[in-house]
This record gives sequence, C-alpha cells and structure tokens, in this order.
Amino acid sequence: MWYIRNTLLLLLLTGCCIVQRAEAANDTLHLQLKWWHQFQFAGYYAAQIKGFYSAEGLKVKLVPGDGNHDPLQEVLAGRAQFGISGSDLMIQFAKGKPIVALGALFQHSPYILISLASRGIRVPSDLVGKTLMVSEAQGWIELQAVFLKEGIPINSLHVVTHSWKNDDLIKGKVDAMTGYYSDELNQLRKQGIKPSYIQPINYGIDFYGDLLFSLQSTAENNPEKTRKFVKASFKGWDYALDHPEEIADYILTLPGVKERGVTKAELLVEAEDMRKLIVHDIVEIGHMNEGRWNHILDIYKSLKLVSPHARLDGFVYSESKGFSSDVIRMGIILSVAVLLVLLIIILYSISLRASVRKRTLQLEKEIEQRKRTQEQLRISEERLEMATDAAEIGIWDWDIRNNTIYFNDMWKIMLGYDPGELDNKWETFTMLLHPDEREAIEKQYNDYMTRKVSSYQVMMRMKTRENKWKWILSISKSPLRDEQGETIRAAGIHIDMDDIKQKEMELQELTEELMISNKELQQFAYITSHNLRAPVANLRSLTWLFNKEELAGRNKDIFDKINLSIDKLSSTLEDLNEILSSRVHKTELREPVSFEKELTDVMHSISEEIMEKEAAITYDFSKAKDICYPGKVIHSVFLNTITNAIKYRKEHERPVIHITTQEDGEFVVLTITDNGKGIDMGKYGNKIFGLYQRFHENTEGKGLGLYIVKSQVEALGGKIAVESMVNRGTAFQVFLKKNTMPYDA
Amino acid sequence: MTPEYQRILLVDDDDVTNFLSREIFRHYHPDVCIDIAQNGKEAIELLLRASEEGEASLPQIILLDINMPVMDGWDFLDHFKAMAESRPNLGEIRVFILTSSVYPEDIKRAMTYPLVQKAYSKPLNDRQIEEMMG
Repeated sequence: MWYIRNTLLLLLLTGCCIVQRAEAANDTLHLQLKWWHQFQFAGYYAAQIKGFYSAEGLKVKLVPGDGNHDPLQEVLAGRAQFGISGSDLMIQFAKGKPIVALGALFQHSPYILISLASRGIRVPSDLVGKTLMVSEAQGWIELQAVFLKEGIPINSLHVVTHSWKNDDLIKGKVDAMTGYYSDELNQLRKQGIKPSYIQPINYGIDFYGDLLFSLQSTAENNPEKTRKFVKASFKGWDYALDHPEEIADYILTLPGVKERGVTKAELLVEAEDMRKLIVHDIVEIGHMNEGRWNHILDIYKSLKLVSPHARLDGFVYSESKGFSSDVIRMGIILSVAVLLVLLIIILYSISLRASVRKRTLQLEKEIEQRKRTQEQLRISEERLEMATDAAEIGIWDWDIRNNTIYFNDMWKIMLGYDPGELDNKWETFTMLLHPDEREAIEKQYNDYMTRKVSSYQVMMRMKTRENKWKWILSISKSPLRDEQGETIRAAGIHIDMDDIKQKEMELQELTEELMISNKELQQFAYITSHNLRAPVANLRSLTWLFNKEELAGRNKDIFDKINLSIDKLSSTLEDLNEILSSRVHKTELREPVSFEKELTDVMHSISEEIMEKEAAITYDFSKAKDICYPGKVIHSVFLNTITNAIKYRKEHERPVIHITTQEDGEFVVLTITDNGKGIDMGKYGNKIFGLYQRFHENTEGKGLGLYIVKSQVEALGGKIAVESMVNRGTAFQVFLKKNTMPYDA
Repeated sequence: MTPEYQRILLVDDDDVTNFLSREIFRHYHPDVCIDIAQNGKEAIELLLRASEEGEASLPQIILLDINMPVMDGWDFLDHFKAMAESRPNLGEIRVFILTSSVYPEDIKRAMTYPLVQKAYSKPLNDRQIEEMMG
C-alpha cells in the first residue's frame, strides 16, 4: 500500500515536471481566426481578457483572418497551432490532411447563400444559370451539398471568386453570394436592403460550424496544452454568451473594428443571431457527436465530395485519446484517466439519476401547468361566451392577411339568422348593409384599416332575415398592425341598437313638434298682447273723454261697470306684456354684475316706499361680491323680493330685510330674509310662485313678481326656494347658476 | 300755451285712434289745427302739397303710427328724410312716434331715426302732449 502510494506520488510529480518543461519550451500559441474581429470570435476574446488562458498557463495570440488567410493552410504550415473552420474540414481530413476537430461552436452551420429579396431568389433552383460569388474557404464546399442534394449540377451555376464586396451583390454584378448568417445579412439590412437567403438546414444539410481544430500532432504531442486550450476557449464562450455587452465593448477596441464602422448594436445583433446557431441552453459549448459526424460524412460521400471509403477515425478529438510519446506521462495519464473515468462514471450515474428525476419532475410540473393553462383558457372562453350571450353582443374578427373573418353566433342571431345560415366571409357583412350607407361604411372601414383613424364606431342599418332594417352599432379599436404598419387583423363588436334608435327618432320628432308649437304659442302671445292693447288703450281714452255727468240712474251704473271691466282688461294686458318682456333665455347676454351696485340701484328706484314704510335693508355680499349674469334678472330679483317684503310687512312693525350671498358649487345663492307676516306654507307652499297668487288681503299685490323671478332664474338653470312661518317672516333662497361656458368676448 | 303750434299731422290707419288723438289735443289746446292721413303715402302727398302751398299749410308736429297698410311708418320716415333734403321748410317739422307696441325693440328702432324726437305708447296722455307742445 505504502509502496503504491509513493509510486503514484512519484509518477505524478515527475509528470508535472515534464509537462511544465514542455510548456516552457513552447512559445505563444496562435489561433488563426476565420475572419476579421467580430462577435463571431467573442469566446476567444473572453478567454483572453478574462484570463482563462493565462489561468491555464497558456499564452495565446488571436490572429484575425481575411480572404487570403485560410485557417487550414495557416495551421498546416505551422504558422498557427489552432484554427477555426467549417464542416468541410472533414473533406480535408478525408483527403489525408493530418488534422483533428477539437470542438464545434455552432451546432448548425452559419453558412448561407445570400441574395436580395427583390431578386426573387428563394430556393436553390432559382440560382440555375445565375452568377454566384463564392469562397471555397468560407462555406462553399458545404453549400455545394445543398445544390447536389437538390439535384442541381454545380456546372449549371456561374461561379466566380468572392470579392468580399457586398456592393457586387447590391449592384447586380452577381446574383447571390456565400455568406454568414450572423454577418452579411445584418450588413445588408443596415444598408436598408432586404436580403433573402438559402439556409442548408432547410434542405436536410445540417453541418457544424466554426470548428476549432489543430494538427493531429499538436493534440497528440501536447495533450495537456490542447485540453487546456480547448477548455479555456469554451469557458470563454460561456462567459461571452452570458456577457455579450462586455465582450462587444471589448471588440470595439480591437484594431480595424471601428474603422469598418461597426457599432455595438450591430455586434449585439450578431450575438443574438449566433445564439440561435450555438443553442447554448441545450448543448454544451463545443459539443460534437460522432454519430452526427458520420451522418455528415455520409452526405459528403453521397455527394462524391469524399472517397466512399473515407473513415472518421481520428478526426474527432477526444481528451482520453490524447497520445504521448512519453511512457511515464502515458502511465500517469492512464492511471489518472482510469481514476477519473471511474469517478466520472460514479458522478455521472448519480447526476444522471438526479437529472432524470429532476427532468421527470419538471415534465410532470409542465404537464400540470399546461393542463391548468388549458383549463383556465376554457373557463375564460366560457366566461366570454356567457358574457357576450347575456349582453347579446355580436363579435367579428377579421384576419386581413388571409382574408378570413369570424362572426360569433350572436352576430348572426341578432339579424334573425341561424348561425349556420350565414357564411363567415366579408361579403356576408357588406351584402347585409343598407344600400344608402354601404359605400360610406366601406369607406370608414377602409380609413380604419389604412390607419387614417385609430378607432372605428359606426351606427348602421343591417338587413334582417325578415327583410327589415335593424340599427346596429359596430365598434372596433386598436387593430393589429405588422412592422410596416399594415393592418393584419381587426376585431370588434356589434350591438343591437334598434329599440334605442327607434326611441331616439321618436323623441326627436316629438321635440321638433314641441319646438314648433312652442314657437306658435309665443307668436300667439305676442299677437294677442300687442293687438289687444291698441283697442283697450282706445277704450280707456274714450271712457275718459266720455261725459259721465250726462248719464243718470241705471246707465250710470252700467257705464261704471264698463269702466271697471276696461281697467281690469287693461291691467291684465299690462301684466301679460310684463311677463312676456321679462322672459329670458339661456343665451341671454351675461355681464359681470355687482350685487351691491344692483341693490343700490333698486333701493334708489323704490326709495319713496322705503322711506315711507321705514324699511331697514342690510346686506352682506362678502362671500360672493359679483356674478356673471344678465343684469336685468338680478334687478328683478331684488326689486320683487324687496317690494314683496315691504308689502307683506307686519302691521305696527317696521320691515327689516337682510340680504346675503354665498358660493355653493355651480351656484351663487342669494338669501333674502324679512320679518314680515310670513306665509302659511302648509296651505300655500306649492302656490307661492304661481301666477296671480295672493296670500294676504288688503294689499295691492298682483302676485306677479315672484312668478317672474322664478321663471327668469329657472330659464338660466337656477332655482328658487322659500321658507316661511306665519308672523315670523319669510326667507327666499335664489340659486343663481354661474356661467359654465367660457366668457364670450 | 304756445300759439305757434297750430298744425299737427296725425298719421294712423285707426279711426278711433285719430279721433281720440284729436279730441285729447283739442281738450288741452282747443285752437290747434289737425290734419289726418290714413297711411304713410297719404301723409307724403299731403306734405308735398303743403310744401308747395307755403309755410302756413305745413304742420309743426307729425304723430306717426308704425303699423299701417300701403306705406308703414318706417317707409314714411325714409321718404320723408329724402324729401326734406330738397325742401328745407320740411326740416323744421318734429316727428313723434305713437304706437300701440310696448316692445323695447320697436322703441329702440324708432330712436335710430334722427328725425324722430320721441316714441310714445298709446294712448296719448296730457304729459305727452305737454312734452310735444312744450
């Protein structure tokens, strides 16, 4: 036991010394990149700048490529130890080149054939007889497989050498070119040109892309170094994919990058495109599957790109297959490898079991989740259906791109049809429209679809199954638009508005009739008051001139009665005229009116009466000093309430009147209180503001004033209220509606 | 009372009004001379004739109604204004409106004519007569 342990220790120590010496002997490792600096090589930059290479004791130089530096040639010539190439590396291997594939970055090849959308080139056969700009080193070999698989002989294409100028494609010098999925496509789009492309995967050619490779001798003679380089590189890739912004910022600092006009945004777009090909979340970076390589080899064989006897042996790198000329190192490696393999097998079986269990749980969870989602969807659909049924809402949903339309059952039932009787198509809708409105409604729809308006709401007539017209409200909002702003889908609802519309039309007719009869009444009142006035005035003058002294007995009595009747007639007419001329309308001109000034004017005009009855009038307008209102109405309010208060004063007590204002929302409230006789509200409450209402005997009131005040205030949107107690006094509250419209200059 | 007002022209289609106006004028000024025209046209003709005959035939006051057949008060005012421009002796005449209308709009409109001294509502009373004659 002791012996074995010591031997192992010895072996390990010796191994380490040898490895260290070997590394010290070798200089910097060169990795020949396939192309100039771009995100395509992000992982290698990350390994470099994040110190993954140096942590493994490696010194690495990344050499940018161009059309003239084929990584394969560089590696074969020993100018670089590592290179990056496409799947066609295998052809070189089959042809006897001593190379080994160390790992694949892209699980799907990024090589594509690029043309412009405007050229109409969509499938490989579109390229027959067309000019193709290709690079042997950059994907042409594997892209040829696409043509051969499609049965298109390569000599039916006009193939020219790649100029690496996108302009040749844009200007039509060539019809298509080989390129990189994450590269040229974005360059074209950046120039505002819509590219089209042919991707091999769509034609059953699924190759690896961006393979890391070296000479077999490198891998065999320096297995540790190779392993470390591969490990650090792919660790770099892990980092780069997790931190694309950081690496993009670094790439921008590399020589030649900014000079090409590359921006960070473009690098990030490239990163996103690459992510699709790397499939990082599913496959470990660098992963290669021997079975898949065999499949690729079979494709090459069937396309006669390699000899039918070509074999894969030795092409795919495997760490455990590392060779060594050093027997001791071999021993160490073998024993370590055996231990490792054992450990790995144990760990792997544990982790496999765990991961199987985990995955099973995940799947169960997922199935449960999906079930629940489906159940929720069903409930939500049911709910929608119940709601639309209950609300009797019709639904339409128009997929414009495919020109299909969906109507729910209620859409059809609303018009008296069984759901099966109407087809789900656009014409069903237009045919049922009223001919007078069809054109206008189609135009409105068009405006809506072409973005002239963002929402759509129309009241229209539609024909029912019984050939009657029914009013329907159609509403739609926020249709779906594609990137170009074209409407691709719109949906909306139909609501049966027939009853409401009929009522609205009846109401409108009624309103018109009322307006006419109201106008006639006004005319009538005017004519009556005006035309009656002249003869009544004449009658008064005639009785005045009449020599009453010449009458006697019964005639004299009759003449007195005639006189009395004329007085009453005349007085009624005066009242009528006063009412007519005191009428105000909502449109009456409003002006700023000061309550204090208006009250002073009124008091001045009735100063004789105030002095005679010794009335005490006080006021407090501090809460609302003025109002924008027709002045004559304020005048009328003050005049009528004050004269009323004086008229209905208590006997043997001087009248005391107090007036205040206050703000109350949209109103200014004017309160007039007195200490008069009061009104028996129980008895007369509802009659106070009626025409010709008098509640006290022996007064000269005609009962007109309050009627006029009320009708004026109400015509302007206000109201008037009264509180009163017999022998205590009366309080009027006049609610003057403030001007809600902007002041008309 | 001032004797220089001797002629008054009443322009009204209502006989009763004319009768009353004359009676009331005579009640206060028994020696006043009153001419009557049934409408604006008659009044114009009468004034034309009087203008030819001379100062003595011309009224000093015209009492004008608004609503009349053939030619109403407004038309009369327009014609009279045009006529007075070529006949200076007509320019001395003072015009008063006597109407059955109590509507402020009518009164306002009447006052837009510079010729019109004042507008009265019927019936004529002593205060108005004093104003006109005074």
